[in-house]
Amino acid sequence: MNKFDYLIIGNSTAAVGAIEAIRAAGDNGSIGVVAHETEHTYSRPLITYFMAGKVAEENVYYRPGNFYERMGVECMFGRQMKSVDVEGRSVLLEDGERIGYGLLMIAAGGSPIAPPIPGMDRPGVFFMNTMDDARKAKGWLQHNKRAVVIGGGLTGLKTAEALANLGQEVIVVELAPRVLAAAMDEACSELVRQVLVSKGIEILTEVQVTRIDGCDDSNDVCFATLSTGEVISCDTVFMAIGVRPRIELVKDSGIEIGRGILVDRHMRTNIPNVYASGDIAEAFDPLFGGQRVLPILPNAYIGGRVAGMNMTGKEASYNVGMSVNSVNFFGFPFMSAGFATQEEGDGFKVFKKLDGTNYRKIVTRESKLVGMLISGDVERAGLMTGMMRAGVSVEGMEQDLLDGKLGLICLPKDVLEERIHSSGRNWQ
Amino acid sequence: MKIEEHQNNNPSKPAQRKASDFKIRSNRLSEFAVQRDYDRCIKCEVCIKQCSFDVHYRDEEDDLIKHRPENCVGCHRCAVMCPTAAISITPNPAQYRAHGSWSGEHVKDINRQAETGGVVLTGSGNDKAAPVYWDRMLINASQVTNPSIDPLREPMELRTYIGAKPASVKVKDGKLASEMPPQIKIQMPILFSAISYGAISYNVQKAIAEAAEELGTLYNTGEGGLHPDFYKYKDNTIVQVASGRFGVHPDYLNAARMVEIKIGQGAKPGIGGHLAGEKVSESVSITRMIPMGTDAISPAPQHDIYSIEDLRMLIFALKEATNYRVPVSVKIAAVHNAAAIASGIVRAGADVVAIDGFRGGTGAAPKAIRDNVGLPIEFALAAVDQRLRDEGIRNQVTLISGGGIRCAADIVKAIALGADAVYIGTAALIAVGCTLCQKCYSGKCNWGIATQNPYLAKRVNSEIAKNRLVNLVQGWSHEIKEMLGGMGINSIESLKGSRSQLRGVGLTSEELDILGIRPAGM
Amino acid sequence: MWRIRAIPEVCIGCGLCRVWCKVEHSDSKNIHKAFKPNAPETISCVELEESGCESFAMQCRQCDEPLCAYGCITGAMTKDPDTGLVTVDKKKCVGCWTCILMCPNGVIKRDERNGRSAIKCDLCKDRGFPSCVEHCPNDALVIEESPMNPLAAHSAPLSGSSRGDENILFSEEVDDDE
Ligand SMILES: Cc1cc2nc3c(=O)[nH]c(=O)nc-3n(C[C@H](O)[C@H](O)[C@H](O)COP(=O)(O)OP(=O)(O)OC[C@H]3O[C@@H](n4cnc5c(N)ncnc54)[C@H](O)[C@@H]3O)c2cc1C
Ligand code: SF4
Ligand code: SF4
Repeated sequence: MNKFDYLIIGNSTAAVGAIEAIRAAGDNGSIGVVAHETEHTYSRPLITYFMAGKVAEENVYYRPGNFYERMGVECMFGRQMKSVDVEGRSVLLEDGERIGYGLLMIAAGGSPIAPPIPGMDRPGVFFMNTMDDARKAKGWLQHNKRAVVIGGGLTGLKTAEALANLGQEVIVVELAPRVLAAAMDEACSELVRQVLVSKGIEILTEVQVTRIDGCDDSNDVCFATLSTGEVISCDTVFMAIGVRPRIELVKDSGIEIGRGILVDRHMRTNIPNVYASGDIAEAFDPLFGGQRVLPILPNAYIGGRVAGMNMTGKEASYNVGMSVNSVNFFGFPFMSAGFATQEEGDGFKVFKKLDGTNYRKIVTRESKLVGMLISGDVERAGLMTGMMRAGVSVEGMEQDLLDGKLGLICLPKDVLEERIHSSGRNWQ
Repeated sequence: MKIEEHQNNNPSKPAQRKASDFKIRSNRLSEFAVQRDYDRCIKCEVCIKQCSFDVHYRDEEDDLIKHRPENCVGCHRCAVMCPTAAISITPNPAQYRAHGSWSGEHVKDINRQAETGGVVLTGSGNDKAAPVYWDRMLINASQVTNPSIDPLREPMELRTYIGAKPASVKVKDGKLASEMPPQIKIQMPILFSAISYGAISYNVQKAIAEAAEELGTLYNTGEGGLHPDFYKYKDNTIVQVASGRFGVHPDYLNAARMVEIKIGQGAKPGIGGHLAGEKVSESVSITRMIPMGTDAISPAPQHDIYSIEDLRMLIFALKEATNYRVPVSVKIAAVHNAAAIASGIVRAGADVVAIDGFRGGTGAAPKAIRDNVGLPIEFALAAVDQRLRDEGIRNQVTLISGGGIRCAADIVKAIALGADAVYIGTAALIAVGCTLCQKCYSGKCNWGIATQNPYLAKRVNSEIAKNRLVNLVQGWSHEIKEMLGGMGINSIESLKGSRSQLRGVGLTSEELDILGIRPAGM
Repeated sequence: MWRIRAIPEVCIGCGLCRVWCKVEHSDSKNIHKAFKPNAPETISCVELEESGCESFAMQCRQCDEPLCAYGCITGAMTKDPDTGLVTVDKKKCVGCWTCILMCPNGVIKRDERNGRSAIKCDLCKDRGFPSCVEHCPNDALVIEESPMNPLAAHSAPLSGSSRGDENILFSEEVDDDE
């Protein structure tokens, strides 16, 4: 049986974070990476850009081509993990091979949710989760022009943007009363909607697609039927209603799961030599005060890095993994962090300021900043996430925060000294 | 401007308010013109931030940086800081009608006083073109008969001892056998003169103290007391006891290598001092031992000194207080009878006499006094040295001359005239950035020197300032050595009182007599 | 590794650091051209922080644990394992501004002059010496060398091989050409 000191399942952000940490720590142990996808590590958020032709293929890759070679990693791509045997310290692959490990990190991410809609299997129905999805869709779109995107979340809307950039007619179908309902409050969603609508994207809310039909002469997508009974003609359908951690991979293995694989602040599962991070993990969120699945790239990298450090015996703690999101639609930026959708009450105080398309909202709890939402003028927004991580009191500064007038100089003396003099090592 | 509710007691007479109820009417032409080259101005606003006199501003409507020349004091901070050299500050070309007797300055001062009814205040030193006798004396050099010395190849001594010297000494086994009065060895005959913390900022005084330490010379606290942080420079500190007695206490006296009684100051002989309450910050108040924000007033005289006998009492009180460990100096302004006074001071027991000439600097003085009272240091020095020699007491005292020393040549000439060492004040401040705008009294010094405003005071980085001071004094020391070498002298001691090394140009025979030098060509 | 540090005690808030940073990061690198009214907007990677009498200039700390690079969604922002410099690869950057949201010091700027790219202090590596430090009239900015924290490297070369050019990861010369 092939055996590695470090076996990593998955080949994306969290995996790269772990590999880089292990090597940075000076550890020369053998590293094996098993990944379902056959691609070299790439930036998942760029797949819509790739589809739209905005980013060339070579720039989709997250690390240079010789990354694995230089890191001394053995790649086992195009192979899928089936189950883990934590007692025997080995992993069983779909193809029947068993691979042993000293330490295991599971970073298999999430899989897109496939709703039970009749017609889901028709040619012209796509997910938007992998490079492979994007490649296939890119080819298909060359001779089609009217697409329906199911889901008004981040992936759905980035897909819609890409489609619009390709000159497609786009209809977004969202079940909730507004787009990006999970990430933004009403005012901000409205700004997003306006941006999208101004670029010709049609947005339907509080409706669902109930079936997808082909035309008489072909199996390909031709119509989508809505819950309102309306039928819209289209030739492409994208499914983007969310991802869910691939916890089925560890079912019955003894590894504890919640919504994702439960990990402590060292990214360690209940099994001492098994770690997890990235979209598959349910890890500590300091603002939330508990474990949470937060499927975003920064957390995947940082979690992977923390796991990597701890695996080599260098103590590192995952304390900065809060929700942060920065997106733009057609160049118009939006940012959110922490309790961005929170409204006044339950011990939260909320301050808002809307000025044309510039929106700012901040959320405090016990006078500490715990959430923010910005559109338009995002200059120095990181100051606020920095304050959230540092847990400083922002009492009396709320208006300045809304006006974007704040600088580091407003931080308490000790925090400020640290910022000026430190080497940027500890961001708690 | 808000017009307040006007109480009209006499309804038959309409209520009136006129411009002069709101502001001082000024008939003055502004002194400086500000020229901004709009081709070069990049609107970076550095000038706006740098000017404490509110000259530059951004005109939002025109999107241009503009200026109010009437506020300009000519300190040139903006011109120096402007990254594109777009600004030039010049004397205002608009001048009053030229007049041989009534200069523009007279007209302006009259107007100013007609507006305010007050004394015209100024700072820094006398800026009038009164003759500078240093410039009328030339130094000798050796040719053929008396070989000159190359200071780079041969030893050259600038070391100077401050303190009274006995008339004779006993030497036993090649060693000094008689007990000497207290002496201070300094590496060059250049000391930093009295500039108080309060008049100048903490950073500047710190820089001066550190420079003195690095150079191996002394600096003088002035009459503002000694900040607790500066006790560590005690080996290089002269503490002053002035008429206000600010910050004087036993620890202060004992934290020094020399104690100086300040009787007078060259820039304002016969008058006291006044530090405006705005400059008395918390730290200044602690150092001076006076309440924060109150005016610090130094009386014109020392109220316990009305005679040489009284002075003697104070000198010996201070010697007692310091256990006869340190020399006691008496500083006087150069006035008409300086020679007689100096003689009295020596007889009163002082170890050092410091004479401050009428071009000496000040943080604040009435302009009338600064520009019209006192004596050129050259005459005072020559007269004092001569008098003390004539009386046979010259050895009992170290003569320090100050007030208007501008360069190494001035120092060489002062020493040849009879000084043991010189005090430098304005020159040191120029090294730190002073451009002689003379607004020291305003507390708004744009160069961060004569101010306690923390925003302005930060402009002096004491590290940079110290290095500049050290460089200046070292540069001067090199020049002094070159000039000594040229005269064929290898020690500053040998130059002392050697007036034969000087010749006068364009001087009357009385002037030559007083200076004790011969005319050039003789 | 080198990083610029502010000395707030002697910062006079003049803003010359900002001016010269703008010049350095302009196309012409000439102060007059960079600030010409019709020139493309110049960007300063230095933030001048001011409050009352206090002020200091803040630019990238070249963090040992660079949150910007960790958050970068494309791999455009990296920390050089040898020099410790945190840099943006403009070719890869898509201008999502995640790094702006991640940087706790607020020192990454948006550069929309030629496409969209993040821009940040690069220690004036083309120039040799940081312009802000050189032009600070009061030595309130210094560039100081601190030992490279080995764990800090965003990535480190393999052990056993020398730290020559060959092993610099993510540097511009080494590209995925295989
Ligand atoms: C279109 C899109 C846009 C996004 N935009 C943003 C954004 O703007 N900002 C942001 O912060 N986040 C964004 N995200 C989310 C971000 O991509 C993820 O958070 C991040 O990629 C998670 O990394 P990961 O390492 O946890 O796993 P993933 O990227 O999900 O990768 C999982 C890896 O596991 C492998 N794998 C899966 N199953 C198996 C198996 N059974 N056996 C072996 N290997 C397996 C896969 O091949 C893959 O290599 C976006 C995601 C998408 C899809
Ligand atoms: S940009 Fe910000 S987070 Fe990134 S290295 Fe610099 S200071 Fe640190
Ligand atoms: S803006 Fe550029 S450098 Fe910053 S996170 Fe996005 S891609 Fe990376």
